[in-house]
Amino acid sequence: MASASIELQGVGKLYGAHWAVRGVSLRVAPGEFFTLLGPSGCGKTTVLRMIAGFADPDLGEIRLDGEPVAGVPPWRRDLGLVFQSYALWPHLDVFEHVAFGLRERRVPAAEIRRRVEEALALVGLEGLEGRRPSQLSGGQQQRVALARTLVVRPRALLLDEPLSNLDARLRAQMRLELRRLHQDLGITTLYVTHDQEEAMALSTRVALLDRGEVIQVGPPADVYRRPRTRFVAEFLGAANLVPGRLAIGPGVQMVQLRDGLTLTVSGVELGDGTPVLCVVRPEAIQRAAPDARVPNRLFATVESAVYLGGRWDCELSLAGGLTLRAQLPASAAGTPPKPGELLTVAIPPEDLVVLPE
Amino acid sequence: MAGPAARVVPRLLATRAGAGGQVALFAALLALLGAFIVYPLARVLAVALHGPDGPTLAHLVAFFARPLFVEALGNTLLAGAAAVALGSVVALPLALLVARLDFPGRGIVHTLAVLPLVIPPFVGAVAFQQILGRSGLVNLLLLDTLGVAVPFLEGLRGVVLVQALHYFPFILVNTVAALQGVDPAADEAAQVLGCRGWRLLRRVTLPLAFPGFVAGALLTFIRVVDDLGTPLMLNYTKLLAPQAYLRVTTVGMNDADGYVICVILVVLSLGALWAARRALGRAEWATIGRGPERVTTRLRGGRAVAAWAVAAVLLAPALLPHAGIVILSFSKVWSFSYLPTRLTLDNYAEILVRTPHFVWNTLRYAVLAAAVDVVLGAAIAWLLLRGAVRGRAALDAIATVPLAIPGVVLAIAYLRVFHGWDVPGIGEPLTATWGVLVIAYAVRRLPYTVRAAYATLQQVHVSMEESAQSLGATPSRTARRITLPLMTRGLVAGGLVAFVTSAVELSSTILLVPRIELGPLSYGIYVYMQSAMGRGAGAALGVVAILLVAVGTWVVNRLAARGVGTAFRL
Repeated sequence: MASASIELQGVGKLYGAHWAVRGVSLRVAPGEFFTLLGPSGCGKTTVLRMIAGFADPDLGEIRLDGEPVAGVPPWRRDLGLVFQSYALWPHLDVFEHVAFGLRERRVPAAEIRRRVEEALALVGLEGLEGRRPSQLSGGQQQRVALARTLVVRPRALLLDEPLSNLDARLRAQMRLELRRLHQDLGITTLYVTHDQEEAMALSTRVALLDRGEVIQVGPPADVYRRPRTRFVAEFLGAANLVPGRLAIGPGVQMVQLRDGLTLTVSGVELGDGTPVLCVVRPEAIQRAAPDARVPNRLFATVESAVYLGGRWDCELSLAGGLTLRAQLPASAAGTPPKPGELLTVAIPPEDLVVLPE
Repeated sequence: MAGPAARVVPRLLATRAGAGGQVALFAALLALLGAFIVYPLARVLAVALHGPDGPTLAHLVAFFARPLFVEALGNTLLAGAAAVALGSVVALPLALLVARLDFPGRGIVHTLAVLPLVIPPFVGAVAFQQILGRSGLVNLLLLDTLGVAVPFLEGLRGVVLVQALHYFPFILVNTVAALQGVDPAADEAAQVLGCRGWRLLRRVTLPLAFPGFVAGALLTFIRVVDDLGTPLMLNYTKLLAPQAYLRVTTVGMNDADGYVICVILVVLSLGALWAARRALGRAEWATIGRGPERVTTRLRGGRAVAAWAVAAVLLAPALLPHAGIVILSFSKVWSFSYLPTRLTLDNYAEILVRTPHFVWNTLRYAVLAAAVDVVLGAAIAWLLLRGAVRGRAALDAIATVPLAIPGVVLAIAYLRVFHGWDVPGIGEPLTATWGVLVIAYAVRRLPYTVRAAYATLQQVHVSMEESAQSLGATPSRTARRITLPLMTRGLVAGGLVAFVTSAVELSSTILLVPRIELGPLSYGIYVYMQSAMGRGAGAALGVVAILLVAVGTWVVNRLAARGVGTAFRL
């Protein structure tokens, strides 16, 4: 299966007087699993539809395999598009769905039969050829939509929130299958979702979109560990955002919080006295012995503790009125945190991200 | 900065279907609707408002100075109101019975209750005369037992009685739809608060169903105003529609009074249609959030029998007379006797062998009109939902207008516009050919197919077409392989409604039939019924009409699969 690269250069799209997408430049390498992640209305689906050819950019250029595609209609772009609603056709059975694109390509009947069987086996739908969409479960409908797209061996696969109509368990299962399919086929995949877990579980790289603009691009772990803006920090995973002021001394970087608390940080490239936000991930907060000699040792009172199986989701209040959400590991041996209890915690400086306010 | 913004629409078109094709289709449809709907109606308006010295209201003033016309206007309003009131008495209890109670055979009652609608009203008029007329079954019985006769069908009273018993299903169907659309939780919430029984009905259920009832009542009103056949059959002419007909047939095409009556008819219908739309617009809130199950009270044993008894009492007056038409069609003599004295098949021989053209013409015209409507309906719906041509909403508006144009008015407009103009290639005016009937039928039923096509195309999500295109199907291939197959059921259902209602259309037919041998079945019935000797044959044609319409309606309801009477909702 030939895999194409997808390039966007300064792409913008106007809806009325409002830029739904602006200045989007991306390059999805052949074989990559690339995710556009963002809240609803951020323009991610519009980007996908422009690539598929159902909307035209008002500015900028889209290239597939290095070739500009302006003016090429959807039916000549040779891309596979899977819709959020699956867009199955109620009047056709499973076999005809999968055979549809092959018939459009005038593939001989015998080969159609063979390739449909292959495609159905690939998604685990053998034996359901004669079913109509209404006779399939949500998960099966999803697989038909995938098989119908993959069977024509498109240059790239575009997926628009494909898992959002499935229940939680099925969603997790389909996530694994999408991963397996991508690994087996090596097809360039552009995935659109608002679900950060999906994005992190599947992607080689993610791009975060907010109000039509790309905010940050990178491998999921990098983006998670080093968010570049407050939006990224908040959208990707949970985060405590603590305002403060940067204080730089010889060989030491600190953030002075309100009420006299300070946090030691590292690797910040901002000037002394800059107002900043400190991003504290809930899982970066660790329990410590009251007399441990570790940086950023804090004394906190447990305000509430919710057991989530494997970990405790706690609300901690610090001296000076600051509250932090923390996720503390729950072990059989350790005592569960109780509301009102006094706790010693520590935050490793390397887990702290400092953003200019 | 107009650059990027202005480019959006044309480029969208370019990728979808070719802007040129769309604009051409739009222009062609607009020209067609303009020529056969807008222009003829405008001419009627022009004649009504034009004197020898330019625009004038003189004709309008003259109308209100003529006692006969004023009486006809009053009678028309009265007939509409009375038919709605009488129809409601029959329809509302039946609606509650069908929508809120569950008993064995409920579906049968529902179907029976819609049946009167499928029988052409003028056929009903004949049937009623046989049963309730001066020398009909009931009066003969009364004379023999009590020595008195009741003039059920004399004058306006007869017209109202026949129309109410014919059109009440409009009220029923729309009220049932509204009742079923009401969220059961609305009733349940009231019940939790201690409201039940009649109070629940009065305080919650009926107010929520009210908009549907109003829509049904106004539809009934429009039909009563439009109905020319019933008054003519019952020989009562002091109503607007028969007056317009008489002016044009006796005084002539140049008499302004006929046109003034037309304008008043249209104003009445448009007003009612507008009010019905508003009522249904308000009904939207009644259907928010509906639960999976309807609340219905199950009736067993004696109470189920009681439900049937109520239904029987309400439906008998509407349904029994139609049994009369069947008997009449098999009778040689049925006069001054309870039932026919001699039975025969001659009447069917007459209409199937001697004058087969009535049935044949009906099939021909109605099929053609339905086919035209399906094509136009699909094209208009496609432009409305998928197109990007500016001003396409105008098509929708124009295609809805015929709902409020009485058949007499359309016929008079066509006579006016096409009479003196020879169609190139044929050498005679359109009104001298049967083509004018097909066009009139097609125009009158166009709103049905536009709505049917619109509703089905709405069900076809755009992404279904887009996924076909991203798999390599061009727009025309997508239309053939995806869109049209998905629309088939809706288009066939809409076409059948157009066919069935065209097959029994009389109000425009009477004026537009060029020669008797070009007349359809409805015209045949009208002609046969003029003489006592022809009544048997007329009834036989009536039975054919009933069969045509019943089978058609049954198929429509099967196809639409949305329950009884889908075809008759606004």
